[in-house]
Amino acid sequence: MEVPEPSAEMGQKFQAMLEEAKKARFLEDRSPVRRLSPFFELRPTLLPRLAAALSLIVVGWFLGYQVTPRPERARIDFLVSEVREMKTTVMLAMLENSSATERMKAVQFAQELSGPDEAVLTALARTVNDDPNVNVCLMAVEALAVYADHPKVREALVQAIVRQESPLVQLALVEVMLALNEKRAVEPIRKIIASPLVDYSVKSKLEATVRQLL
Amino acid sequence: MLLGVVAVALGGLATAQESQPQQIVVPLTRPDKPGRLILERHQGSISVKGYEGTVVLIKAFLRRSTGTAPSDRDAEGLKPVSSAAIQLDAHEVDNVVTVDAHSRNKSIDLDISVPARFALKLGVLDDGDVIVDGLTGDVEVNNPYGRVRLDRLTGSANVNTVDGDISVRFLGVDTGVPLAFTSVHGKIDVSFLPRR
Repeated sequence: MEVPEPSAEMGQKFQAMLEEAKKARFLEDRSPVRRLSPFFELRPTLLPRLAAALSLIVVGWFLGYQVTPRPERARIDFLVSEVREMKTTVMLAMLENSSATERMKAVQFAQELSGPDEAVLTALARTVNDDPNVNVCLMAVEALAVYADHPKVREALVQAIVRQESPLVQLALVEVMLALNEKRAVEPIRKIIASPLVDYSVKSKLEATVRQLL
Repeated sequence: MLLGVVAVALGGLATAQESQPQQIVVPLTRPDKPGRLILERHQGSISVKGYEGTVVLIKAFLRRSTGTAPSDRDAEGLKPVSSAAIQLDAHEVDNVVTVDAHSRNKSIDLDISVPARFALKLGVLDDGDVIVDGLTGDVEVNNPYGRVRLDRLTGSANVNTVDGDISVRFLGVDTGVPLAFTSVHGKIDVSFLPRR
C-alpha cells in the first residue's frame, strides 16, 4: 500500500486545525448556558412572555373563582343571613323580657348587629317610648342615635321627645337633637317646657337647647 | 309544674290592729333554685334581706301618721272605714313571688326576708326608701323620690332615681352583664368591698 508522503504544509494545517479546535472548546466552556435544549435558552424575549402567560393563568383562575356558582358559598351566605335573622329574633324576644338587665343586654345586642334592619330599629324606637325602665330607655336612645341619618330613625327620635316623662331620657333625646341640629325638635321641646310636670333643672337646659337650635 | 300560693291578709278592726304588722310566709316551688321577687308601684319603704331560709317572709307595717293625717273639719264625726287596714297579697308561680301591699291613704313599710339567691324587681311610687342587703342576683330598683341602698350585693344592679341618692356596695359582679345607675339630682356611690 502506498502511503503518501506528508507534505510540508501538513504540520501547519494540523497546527491551524488544533488552534481552531482549542478556540472552539474554550468558547464553549465560557458560554454561561449549556445548549441543552432550545426551550431552555434564555432569550431576552422569553421572560415577558412567561410573565404574561402566568398572569393570564392567575387572572383566569380568579375570574373562574368569582364567576362559578359554588354551593358552599351560597350556603355560607345563607347561614350568615340565617344567623342574623336568629340574632334579630333573639334580640326582639329579649326586649320583651321582664328583667331590665335582660332588656339592656338586648339593646347591646342590637348595637352589635351591623346595619340593623327596620324591625330592629322599630323595636328600639318602641323601647325608647314604652320601656318602663329609664336605664333601658337611655341605652336605646344611644343605640338609635348611631343611626340618626336614617330618616325614619330621626323621625322616631323627634316623636319620642313629647312622650318622655323621665327627665333623664328627655335630656338624652334633646342632646341627640342638638348634635343633629334637628330643627323639627323645637316644637316638641317647647311642649315639654310648657308642661307642668317638667323638672325645674331640665327646663333651663331645654330652653337653652331651643335657643341653640333656632 | 306550676304551683300558685295566694295568701291574703286583711287587717280587721282598725282600732285593734293599727300597730299590728301583717305577716305572710310564701314557700317556693323549688326551694333549691334561685327565685325572684316582684313588687311594683309600692307606696312606702321596702327593706329586703337575704337569709339562710328557703321561704319568703313578708312583714308589712303601717306607717305612723306623719303629720298629714286626714283631719278635715268637714269629716268630723265620720270615721274612716278601715283606713288602717293593710291589704297584703303575695303570689308565687314557679319561684317568682309577686307582692302587692296597699292601704288607703297610708304608706306601708315592708320588711322582707328572702333566700340569699334571689333577684328583685322593686318599684316605689312615693314616700319610701329601698334597702337591700346580702343578696346574690339581679336587683332592679326604680324609686324616683326616695333613696336606694344596696349592700353586700353579688350579681348585677339596675337602679334609677330622680331625687334620691343611690349607694351600692358590691361583693361581686356578674361579668358581661350591664350595670346601670341613673339619678337626676341624687348622688351615686358605687363601691366594691374587698374580698375576704
